[in-house]
Amino acid sequence: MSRQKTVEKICISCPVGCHLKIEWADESPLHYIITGNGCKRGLAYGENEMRHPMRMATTTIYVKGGIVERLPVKTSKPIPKALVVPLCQFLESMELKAPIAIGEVIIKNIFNTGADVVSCRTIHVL
Amino acid sequence: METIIYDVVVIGGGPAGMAAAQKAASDPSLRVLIIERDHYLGGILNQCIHPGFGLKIFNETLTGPEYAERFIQFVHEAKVDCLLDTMVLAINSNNALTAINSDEGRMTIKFGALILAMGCRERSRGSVIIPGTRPSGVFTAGTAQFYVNIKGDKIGERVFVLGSGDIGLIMARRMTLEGAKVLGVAEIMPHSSGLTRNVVQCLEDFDIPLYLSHTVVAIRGTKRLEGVTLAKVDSAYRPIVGTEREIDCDTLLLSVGLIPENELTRVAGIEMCDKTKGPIIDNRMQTQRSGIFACGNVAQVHDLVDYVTEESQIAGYNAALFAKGKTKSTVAGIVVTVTPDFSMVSPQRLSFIGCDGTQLDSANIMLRVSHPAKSGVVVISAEANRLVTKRYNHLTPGESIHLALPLERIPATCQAIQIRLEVSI
Repeated sequence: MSRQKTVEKICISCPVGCHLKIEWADESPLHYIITGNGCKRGLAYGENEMRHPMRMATTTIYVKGGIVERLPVKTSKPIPKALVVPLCQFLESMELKAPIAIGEVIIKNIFNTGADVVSCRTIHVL
Repeated sequence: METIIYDVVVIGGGPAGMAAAQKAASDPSLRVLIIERDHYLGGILNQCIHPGFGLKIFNETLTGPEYAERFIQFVHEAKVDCLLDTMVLAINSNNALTAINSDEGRMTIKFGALILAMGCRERSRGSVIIPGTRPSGVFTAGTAQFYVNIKGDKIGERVFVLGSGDIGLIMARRMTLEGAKVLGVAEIMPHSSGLTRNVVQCLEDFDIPLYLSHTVVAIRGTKRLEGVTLAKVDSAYRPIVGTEREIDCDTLLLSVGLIPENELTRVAGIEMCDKTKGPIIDNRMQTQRSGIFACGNVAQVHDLVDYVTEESQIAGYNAALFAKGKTKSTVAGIVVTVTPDFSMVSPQRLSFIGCDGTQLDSANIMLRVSHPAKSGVVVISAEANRLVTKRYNHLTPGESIHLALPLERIPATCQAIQIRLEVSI
């Protein structure tokens, strides 16, 4: 006989922070029943949290010759949570040159995730 | 000394100032000026590199710099003039202000309407009075965020955070991603003061412990911070003897609250609200001084920039009407009061009449609860009449409540409306 399990997760998709209740039976294939979500993003978030948690990653990259020395960047879509720290470490040693436009792709398909590393700010030449 | 004349002048080029200026300048007959003390527009958004901005305004999640850059674009398209690297010294009584920069020296700028959008600053070690030595390595969280995200500096390796405000939570994650070890976050209250989602994505994601009802009671170290002493507090927030533990860290980040930056407002003699620490404002975002408006964190500290944008657009809209001189808008008289269940309410005054003399139909009300509640019903009433009742779940002081108050339900003779929280079972 299968055992019923329950966890509670707070959805981080938006600032509302819905309290999700996720229930499943200990059987194969796993099927999650998610309640407490205010919108459909909560369903996707709950499902992802159980199977393969995803996060947007943001950090900065060193820029030479611009009005500021750091370019803020983000992943173009969420990447596996376990890759967020390696991504930040990887970008740490990178060096770019101004000018850089907002939205510019800095690295395509980072770590084969399908996500690009994208510039979040226009940096003019000093 | 040069005299400059504008229809609408905005002090501050952060999210509030930019949204207000854009809205005011949507009337092409008006000349609008932003005065900003930094080298560029965008304010604090430039250093908030994390995502989560813009879900309400743009229906997508943006980082702070992206949100800022959209508005920088809007402001330029709206032909708003900007004086950067310029500091306002005083608001004078004759619809003019004094400003200074290193190119022009001292300037007098005359305005038809003025919008205060100076934002807020962080409470520091001095505000929370932590005993101990005065080594380097003690930062407010926002200062640390500036060093790390804008300057690219390495500020420390073993980090402890005092206060669970949103910037502290965001910086706990940021320092972890920068390769530092974040040992924990202490919060003197029995609940987090930041957004719930930030506790999840910044602390739980990285197994950073949150010590509720704890505070830092001592700071050690001579040149550089060597450690702090953490202690549990009782219900009156007094440290409990015998609960002290030593934490070895080289960096302490303080996220212990924000103070609206109202030196100019106070010196100008504009009436202040002791709950928000901002000027008393009405539903048109006008202060108690006709023709002077306020919006964003200078009026009250917000949790989300999207709300700042919305109220700043109201301020910009009304300042434009005032500057056009359609009517000399009167100071609003209906007083909004809250029970101690709420730590603040905005606006604190209501007016039925817009700045163009037309009847207003609705007012946006922002509230923060004083303590968390699993659920509760917000009741807005005028004398014995219930005007609005709305039920909420998971109320927490870190997350503001926003609701619309239909003004036509308020009796014309009403002097004050009351807002209270009924705890539902």
